[in-house]
Amino acid sequence: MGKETISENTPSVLPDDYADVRPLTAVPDSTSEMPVYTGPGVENGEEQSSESPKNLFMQAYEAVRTTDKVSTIVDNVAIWWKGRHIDAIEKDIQRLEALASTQSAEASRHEQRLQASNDAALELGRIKNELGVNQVDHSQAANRGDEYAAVKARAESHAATAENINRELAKKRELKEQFERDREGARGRVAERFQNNINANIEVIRNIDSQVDQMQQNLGVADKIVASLQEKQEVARAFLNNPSTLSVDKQMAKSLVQDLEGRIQDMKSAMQIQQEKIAVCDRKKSTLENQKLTWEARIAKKPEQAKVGNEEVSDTEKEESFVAETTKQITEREDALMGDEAETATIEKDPRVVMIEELRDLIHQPELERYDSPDFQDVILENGTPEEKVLVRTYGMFTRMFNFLESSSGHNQESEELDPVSFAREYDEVIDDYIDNPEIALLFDSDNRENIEKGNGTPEQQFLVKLFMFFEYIFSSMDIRTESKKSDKNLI
Amino acid sequence: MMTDPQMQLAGITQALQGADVYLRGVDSFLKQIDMRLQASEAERVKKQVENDIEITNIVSGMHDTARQYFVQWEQVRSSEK
Repeated sequence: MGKETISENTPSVLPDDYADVRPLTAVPDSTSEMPVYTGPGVENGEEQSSESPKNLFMQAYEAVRTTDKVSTIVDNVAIWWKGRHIDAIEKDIQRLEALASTQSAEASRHEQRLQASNDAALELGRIKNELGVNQVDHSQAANRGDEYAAVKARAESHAATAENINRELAKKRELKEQFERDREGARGRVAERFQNNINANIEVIRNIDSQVDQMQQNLGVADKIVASLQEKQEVARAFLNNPSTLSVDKQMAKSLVQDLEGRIQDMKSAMQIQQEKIAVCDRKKSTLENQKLTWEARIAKKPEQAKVGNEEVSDTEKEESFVAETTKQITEREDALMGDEAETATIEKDPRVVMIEELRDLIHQPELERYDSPDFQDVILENGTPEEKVLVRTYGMFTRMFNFLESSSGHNQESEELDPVSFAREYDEVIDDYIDNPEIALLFDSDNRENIEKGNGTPEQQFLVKLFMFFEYIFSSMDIRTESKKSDKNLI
Repeated sequence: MMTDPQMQLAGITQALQGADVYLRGVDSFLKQIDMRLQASEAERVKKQVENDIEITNIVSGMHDTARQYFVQWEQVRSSEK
């Protein structure tokens, strides 16, 4: 049975996209200058347009690498550091928490059922004793033993899965915390250096202030000297203009007035020079102050951006929906096996399960059975129509899945073991090809589709349309994804 | 306002001498101011360059940390398989 495989393989926690973060190792070590990233995705325009975490990371990294002014680094680093990877890990953690709790709940549900079954068996034995019925139906006892063991194995498998997931969770949390500590530490150290720069600016500003102050005082002295010279000039002028002054003395007075005028002009130009110097100092001071304010704003801790979640869900969601479906199917079949009719009746059939069953009926049509033959598959893959090619690939996927589902209900003991997660991964590409194929998409035009649904169209077409509706249903229940992608754009 | 011309002359000479002292001194005064401003500016630039170098080192250190982090992450991821 496939259960053991599940417990050994903890469901994947990272979308495949993240595997590509690895190109980072292409960054050469360098201490003297900024490392230069030479890997893919740097100068490639099409890569830039993509929104995958990998590309966002590359963009942020590039912004840091090519920055000219070191003062902008803190901003860039904040963007990069904040990184979608942290968000992605947080999302993983949330997802793992949910998975772990589902698995634990499953495990305890099975355990409770085992307990109830034990109680019922005891009660039944007691009643039999009272009635004096001591015949033992061996086949019944054996059946009960089998069923009991099956449920027990299921409970153990779920418990083991939950335990694996919890171990995984602990690792992720530890990694994330470590990364965040490193990030905070580095940020703090960078901020400290900027604080040093700010302090250096403050020191220079203080020095400028004191020099300006001295020049102002000096100007005050100059003012007094000029006032005194002007006063003396008046005296000399009065002497010059006095009619009783001798003409020889007038000559002297005249030259004195000129001397005084020369000094006054010299003093004024000296004052002018100082005033210009003060103006230069003021300008320098205001430059330094602006720089200081900019730095202060830069190192001020900005409020954390709202968490961005739910991007990059496609792979994981596909896997999850597969896991959910399979689990649901298994549960239902188990319930049927246990003959717990009351419980089965209360379970409403998931539309996805209904769809899967319809798909199974379609794929088991005699016309499609030939797709099972490897020879026929080869022929189709070489010369088939687009829809036949797609069907060859999806056919394999569905037959394997149905075999697995049937094996879990005990009908088909021969079938392979199947791990839903790796299974979903294996066929991920097939599903993408199928959905993105323009020729196949023609089948899904509303007219064509309606027509095919009515029973017109080849069995292949019927199957593909049904399959499309199945995926459409699954993806349309993931509206959050497209919305969150839009909001991501605003944040970039 | 007339006083003794000798006194007036002495006052004027003194005022002229005072202005000469000031004018002789003002150059070296301004030179000193310039020197102090330049010294403090040079000190500031030196400190800033040091800080910038340190910031650059911290940032490349962060790159290394991030790289290690992603390597570890890959390890955790591959251990799942």
